[in-house]
Amino acid sequence: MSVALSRRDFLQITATGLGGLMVSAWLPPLRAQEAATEPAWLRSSLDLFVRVEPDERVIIGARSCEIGQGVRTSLPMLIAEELDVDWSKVTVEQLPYGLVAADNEQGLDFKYGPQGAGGSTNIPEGWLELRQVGARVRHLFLQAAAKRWNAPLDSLSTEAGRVLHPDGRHLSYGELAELARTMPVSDKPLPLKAPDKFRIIGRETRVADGADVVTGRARFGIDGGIPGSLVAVIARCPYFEGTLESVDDSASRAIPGVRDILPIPGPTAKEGLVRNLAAGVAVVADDTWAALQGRKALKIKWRPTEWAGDDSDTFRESAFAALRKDGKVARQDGDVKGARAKAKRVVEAEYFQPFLAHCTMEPMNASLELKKDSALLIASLQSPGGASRMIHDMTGISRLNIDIHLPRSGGGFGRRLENDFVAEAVHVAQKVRRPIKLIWTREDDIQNDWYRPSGAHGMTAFLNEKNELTGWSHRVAAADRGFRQPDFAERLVARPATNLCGFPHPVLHGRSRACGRRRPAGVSAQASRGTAGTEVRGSRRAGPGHRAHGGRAESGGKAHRLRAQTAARARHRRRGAFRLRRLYGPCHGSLGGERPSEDPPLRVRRGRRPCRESARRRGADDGRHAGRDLGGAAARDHGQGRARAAAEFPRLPDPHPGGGAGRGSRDPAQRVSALGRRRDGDPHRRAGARERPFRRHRETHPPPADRRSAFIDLV
Amino acid sequence: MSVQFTLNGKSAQFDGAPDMPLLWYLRDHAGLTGTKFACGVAACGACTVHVDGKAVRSCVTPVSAIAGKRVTTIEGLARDGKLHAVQQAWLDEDVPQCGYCQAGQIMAAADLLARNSNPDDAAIAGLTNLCRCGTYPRVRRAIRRAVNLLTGSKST
Repeated sequence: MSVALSRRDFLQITATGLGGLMVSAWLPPLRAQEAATEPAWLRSSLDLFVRVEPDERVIIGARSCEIGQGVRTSLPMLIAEELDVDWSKVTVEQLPYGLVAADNEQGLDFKYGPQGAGGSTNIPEGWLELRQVGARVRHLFLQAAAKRWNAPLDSLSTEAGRVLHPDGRHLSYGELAELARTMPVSDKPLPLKAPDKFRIIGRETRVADGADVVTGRARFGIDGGIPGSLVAVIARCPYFEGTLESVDDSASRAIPGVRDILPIPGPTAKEGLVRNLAAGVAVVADDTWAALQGRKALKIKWRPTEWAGDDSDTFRESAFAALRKDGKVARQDGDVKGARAKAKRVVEAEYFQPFLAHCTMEPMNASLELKKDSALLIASLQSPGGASRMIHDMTGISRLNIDIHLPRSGGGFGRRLENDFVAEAVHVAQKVRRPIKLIWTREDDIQNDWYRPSGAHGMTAFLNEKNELTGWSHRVAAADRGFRQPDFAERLVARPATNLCGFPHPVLHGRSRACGRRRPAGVSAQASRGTAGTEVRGSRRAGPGHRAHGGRAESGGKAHRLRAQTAARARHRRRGAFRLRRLYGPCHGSLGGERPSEDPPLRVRRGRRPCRESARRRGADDGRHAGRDLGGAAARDHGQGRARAAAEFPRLPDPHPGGGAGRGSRDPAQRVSALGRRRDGDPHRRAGARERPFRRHRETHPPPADRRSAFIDLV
Repeated sequence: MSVQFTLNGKSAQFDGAPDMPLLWYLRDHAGLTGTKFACGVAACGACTVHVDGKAVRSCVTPVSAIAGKRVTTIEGLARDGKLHAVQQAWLDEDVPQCGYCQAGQIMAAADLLARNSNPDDAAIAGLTNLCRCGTYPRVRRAIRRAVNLLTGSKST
């Protein structure tokens, strides 16, 4: 069940011959301005999201990359909710990456909608779209029942996989499936359930393919699956932009099972990092052990570059040296000079963040078969669109003929948003002309990452006589996140993770400053939006910036904690208490549109249940914070602090004035009603936790137009 | 040189490199990909299998070392279609996130319960399998639950 199916397989009619209803509908986000422009292929015979069998089993397609965030379960839940079926009868099947020919500039469009995984975007992106899929399929069953009973459509309702007639008769979806297939799909958006009617969304739900995981049946990228594959491992140049000087592979070739040894190219000076990260020597063998032994027996000489002399120590020294300089103001809010002048106390601290590898449990890998005009990729991915583009760019194979399966990924964390390992597989497969399973060892993985940028941070807090924070200054000298990414600015989604200044801080006056460093000629600084932009000179391991996943591991998040810790220390309060108030305080005004979703819309924790963080951050609660036991002092402190903060500190203007239940609004009357019912005796529910208000954030805060061009999922 | 052993209840034989780690034999030659590679140096436990009923990290166990022995992988833990108590508990507690470490966690937990039918917190903490997603609290709950399933009574 967890193996991705080919389109043909998925369309297969059941043995009974009755067939199931198969409908697909990928719909664009239903913003007002887009409602009129659904994709053209929606009308044609579609790829599936839903199949209902005569025995009432409901098969729902999971479209995204499951990297442990739960989307293989949560996205089907969205469909199932509006479809109105019994979740216990649902089987989830993974969909492959899908593209269709389209009459647009690119000639391509999504088949199932966006399928990448990154930036915590799956639920926000799918929230309306996939629910609409479910609603439209349900509508087919309603139409079928209306026809069968010769009853007005409006008089009918559904419940848990059955259509109900007002006089008590009912027909199951399975009974209606064949007829429903003949019904027209609604050509306009259908109304969706109100949250208080949810039966599936909002409930603790177990992973859909848990049985496969606990029995070892679940497939991951590294498990491959292309018949006739040879295994490839690569010895990579340890110097950034280094090249191969010589290799003696005689000992390697003598090892039984080793089939071929070949060099692969790496990035060159001044070129962007758009393929693989390093030059290398690939060993191709019958099995993994032979490949590894073959690699060990290589005698390689690498040509170092100017970067070879740098290391972690020199980088750290130069980062702190740069920190002492004036630098460039990246962002300024309010009157920092005034806060400094009036401060009764000034507290300063410096911090250093090392380069941090993502360290997914499953190392990078890619199984690839290249044919003359087609290709098959099985790999753990976060950006299948990027993988598709990579293969096409390197081979010229039409993207419509590149099949990409989406097995489970043993962690992503943003690392797999890059497809450098796919580029490596292409290099090898092009030469070897056999299907290739490229795998990385743990050592390869740690040494060849897109690291969380390293940098020195200098923070200063200004306090008044009441020991309250009245302002702060944050100076940064750090590696550039967009290092050697020629298309970084276009690919970047405006999200707090990228933004040093994405701190929820409108109440506070602060200034961030990006401290410049000496840069190689021709590379421009990135100091906009508070991103600390400095070039890093050094070894390859120190060079590339990192790819972020979600909102947790990035510099922005770390910077939040750094600020909080600095100020907490200054105030001699418990760290947790301070972090509470300042990070999750009430002041979530906008940051001048810089961070369109300051307030994360529904984030489904572990793919199952909307996270209450959104409402909690708004200070909507009574001071309790899930998972943090802060004791009475914090609770008292939080309440008082919140009131004080609201009274004293001005709020920045809302970038979406008139947006209904605005982000800054704390008026309970404007909030949507509470979440749906929860399982009685829910063992996971914390004692005393109460329902949080549930926001249809996307409906009141349409994302900016460029949100769809997220780097994760361009077509 | 031919190494003979029992694999998930069936006779097996391997004629390849005797120093090949059992992990790679299982994944590449036996077609059993449930046992995972994550570190290759026995630091993480994702490769845990049972040899003669005891947990072993297969990434550092050469095939030659299992001659004449009984090997059980995650695929062989369930018997006659019935899940092992640890597997059932794992489902009940909904432990997996990405799922990559889970086979190793389950094998290690099954081994623990075979040795110690009512492990205390310290004994459970003695399991050193790594999980990058951080499922540890649910792993511990699942182990407790498996104890209950096996003994039919509340554990201490």
